[in-house]
This record gives sequence, C-alpha cells and structure tokens, in this order.
Amino acid sequence: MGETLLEVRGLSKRYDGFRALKKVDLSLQTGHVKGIMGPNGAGKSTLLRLLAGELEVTSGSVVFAGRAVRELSVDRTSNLGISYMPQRPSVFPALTVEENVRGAAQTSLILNRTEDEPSVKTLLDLVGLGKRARVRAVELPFGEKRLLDLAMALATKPRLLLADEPTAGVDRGSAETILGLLRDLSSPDSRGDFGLEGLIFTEHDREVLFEFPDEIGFLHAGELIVEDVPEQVKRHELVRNYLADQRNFEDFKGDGGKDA
Amino acid sequence: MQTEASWNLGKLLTVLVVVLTGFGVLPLFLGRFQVVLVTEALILGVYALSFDLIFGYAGMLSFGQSIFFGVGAYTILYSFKGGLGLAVSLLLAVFVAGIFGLLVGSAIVRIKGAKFFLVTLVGSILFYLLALDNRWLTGGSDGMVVPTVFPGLVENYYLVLGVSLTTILFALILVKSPLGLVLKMIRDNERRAGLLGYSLKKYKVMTFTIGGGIAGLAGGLYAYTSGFVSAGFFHWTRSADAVVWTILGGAGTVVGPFVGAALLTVVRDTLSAVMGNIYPVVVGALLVLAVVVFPRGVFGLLERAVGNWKGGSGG
Repeated sequence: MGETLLEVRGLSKRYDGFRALKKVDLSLQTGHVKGIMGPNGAGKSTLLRLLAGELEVTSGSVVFAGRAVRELSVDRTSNLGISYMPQRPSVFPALTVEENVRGAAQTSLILNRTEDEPSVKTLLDLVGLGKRARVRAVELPFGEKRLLDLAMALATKPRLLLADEPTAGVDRGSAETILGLLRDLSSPDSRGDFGLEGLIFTEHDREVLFEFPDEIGFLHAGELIVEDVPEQVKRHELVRNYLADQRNFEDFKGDGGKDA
Repeated sequence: MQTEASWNLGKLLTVLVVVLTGFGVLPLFLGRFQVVLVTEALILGVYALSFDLIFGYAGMLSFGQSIFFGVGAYTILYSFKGGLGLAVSLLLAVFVAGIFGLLVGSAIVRIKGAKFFLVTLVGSILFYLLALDNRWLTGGSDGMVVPTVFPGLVENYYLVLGVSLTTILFALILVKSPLGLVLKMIRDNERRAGLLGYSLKKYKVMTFTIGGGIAGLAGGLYAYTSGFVSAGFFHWTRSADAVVWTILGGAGTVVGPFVGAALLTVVRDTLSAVMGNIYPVVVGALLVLAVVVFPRGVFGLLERAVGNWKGGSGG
C-alpha cells in the first residue's frame, strides 16, 4: 500500500482550439478507487481516453507503475495493463458472447501475463452471462452488452481499469451486478483471478458515486476543481451546486415520467 | 440463428465425403472443355478465397488483389525459365506474392474507409500500367508463353483440386484459430480490438501477406495451366472479379468464394456462347440480389438448406 499506481501531471487536451482538458493533476494509489464526476462535456471521457492512450495528449505527463505511457499507442497501453471500458457499448456484434470474451482474453494469454489460460467461462459466470455464451452479441439487450463490455475489459487482466459510465442507461439488475463486481474486484481482500490494483470510473449517479470510491474528483469545464475523499468533495461549493442541480433535474424528470 | 454451431462433426464428415467423391470422379463424366472449365473455376476459387480473408474476415475492402495474382503468375514464368520444378515454383509464387502483400499492406494499412478502397484500386491500375509498359519483363499485352510440358488436362485438374483442398484446409484452420478470431474482431469493431491490446497495423499487414501469398498461388496455377501470362493478369477488373465472386458466394465463409467463382465462371462461359455481351448485366443483377436477398451469399443459403435437411437438433 501507499505506492503510486498512476501519476498524472498537467494533462491537457485541445481539439481544434477547444480546450477539453486543462492541466489536470491526478494520482491514484495502488489499491484505491477513484470516482470522477462532473456535468456533461466536463471532460470525463476525454480524461479516461487520454489515460487509455486512445487520444493523443496535447501536453502533460502520464506515469503508470513508474513508466511514462503518454506516447504509447492504445494497444501498447492496454498491453501494459490499463484497460478502458468505453462509454457506450462496444462489442463485436457478429461474434458470440463467448467469442467476444475469448478474443479479449487471448491478449493476456499472448502477453503471457498469466500462467494459465484465463477462464472464459469463469468470466462469463462472473458477469452472469454464462447462459448467453452462444448468443451473438448484437442480440443482447443494452444492460447485457454492458456486462459483456465489462467482462472483456477484465479479460485482459488489467492492473488498472478505467470504466466510463459503466451503469449509465443500464437496467437495475445489470447495474447492481456491474457495481458489485467493481467493488469486489477493487477491494484488496476479495480479489481473486481478476482483481484490480486500481479503478477509476466516471459516473452521473451521485448515489453510486459516493458509495465506494476512496477519492472523488470533480471535473468542470475541463478543470479538476477538487479531488479529495468523498466527505470533503461533498462540501465544496461547486459540487454542492452541481448536485443540487442534478437533484432538481431528476425531480423534474420524475414528474415528467408520472405525467406520461 | 446459430448456423455455425449446428455444423456438428458427423454432418461435416458427410459433406466432406460427398464433396471429395464428387470432385474425385468428376472428370469421368466431363468432356475436355468442361474439365478445363472446372479447373479454372477451382483456381479462381482459390483466388477469391485470398480476397475473402482480407475482406470477409479482416474487413478490408481491397481492390488490389490482382497485383498479387499477377506477381504469382510472373513468378511461375521466371521460375520455369530458370529451370525450377512445379512444386518449388508454386511455393516461390506464394512467397514472392506474399512479400508484395507485406509491402503493399504496410504502405496502406493506416488508410481507412472509402479512401482505402480507392487507393487499392489505383494501386491495381498502376501495377497493370507498369506491366503493360515494361514489355521486356512481361511481354506487355501480348504476354509470354510459360515454358512447361503439360502432363495432361485431367492430371492438371487433380493437381489443382489438391492445391485447392489444401488451401481450403489451411484457411479453415486459420479462421478457427486465435489469429482468425482477432481478424474477425478487427472486422467487427476496430476500435475495441485496439483497446483490448491488438495492434491493428500488425494484424492487417499479416492478413495482407497471407492473402497476397494465396492470390500468388492462384496466379501461378492459372499461368501454369493456361501456359500463358500477360499484363492482363494485373488488370483491375480481375480485382473486381474477386470482390464480386466473394460477395455473391458468401463473404466471411471459406467455401463461399469457391461457390461464387464457380457459379460465375460457368455463367460467363454459357452466356458468352449464347448471347454475347449480356454477362455484365447478369452479374450486376445477381450481385444486387445477393446483397439484398441473401447477404450471406449463395453459400449461406446452401448452409441453411443443409442445416435444415440434416439438423433439426441444431437450432
């Protein structure tokens, strides 16, 4: 414990003059979970995609497990143990659920990061898709696609998982499975085969967000306004405003639902 | 709809025995002209399969396949001129065309979408023009005679049959292997394949190399059996042929390209004898039909029919 898994300094991203992320400093200790919140367009996905190597960094540094990874391509970053679960379902539609996971698990096998073959079946059972193994991914409902997304992200046996809104738009049952897994796999005492050394996830739902992360970061217009333990973050003025707005919005949405 | 899963071993063996026996005894029932036609169809099936690996499995719509067909054909010519035997010459054709696949693939692998299609088409045309202009090397449009002694039409047929079956077996093993799964992942969702740690560049270049080698094998066989090579082997319409045969026969299946190539070779020969220039119209109509009505190609239809006939248990 106490070791730094990820160290981000002055990370910025500019798209054609638009500054999506402004000099973000952020670090994650080994064994910790960090939640990232913020309004739409605050740069949450941009942050995760930069860390995953999917977007090119404009300036700043990213050090993962003592290694500078800023210049690495997305596949090399993944091979080093950073796995990104995209914001929207991203599966292999024409392949079966089993093939999706097997294909993802192959990478860790090819890399020889594990001694024995990561069991595809274990993973499928873990996310509750054991009975759906032979169904083509395109036929899965949204929630199960997200479960499959998670199974694939885990199949590479990552050290650090970056989950981008893992439960957004997902039915209650699947969301509970996803959150339960994320909590289990990131807790030091119940890691098992697919245990994580670190987890960063973005989330809209404040109840989920304040539930289990060790720290929370609040992004606003590309800036990391505050990064602290949940209790402290809750007290920050901008965060309070944001949460109040969100509550109002949800109440409004709720009423709309009743009327319809 | 799990067509593939319903193919159990017993069914596969039955089909294999029927096909092998059928093709084995075929020359006994055919005239000389028909034996030549079937031989040609098999070679073109190998050629279409080489394109299918690139398109149907790895998802790259390349119009450059004739480059490797031509390279393979001329490799055979010069290999024979250098006094090498048939087996060595065919292997050499695979090797040299494979190298061209590696080079062309490396040059274009980062290009995507419609641009990729255009660049490969232009590459195809470029190679044709080069072959046309460098008469000293290729004989231009008049071509050159391949210096070889034919053992006979039926012997050629069995040779081509053997090579075709070997290629099919190789392709089946390839697409069922972990590498085949990676190719299908790249075809289905490039982004996620990259996120999961696969180097798109590496696997695409690998596919181009393998596809190039197999196209070279087909070009070599074509040159050998027809006893003649010309710049026309490089013509871009030959690239288009592979595309049409594969889509019609069933892209993303190993046998589909053979079905497409055979079907259209027969249709072309029959039609040109009967009513001249109607062939392109018929092909166009068939292609539209394939894309709209049976997107898994003729082979997809056959597969489903056989599945229903034998299966029931399959589901």
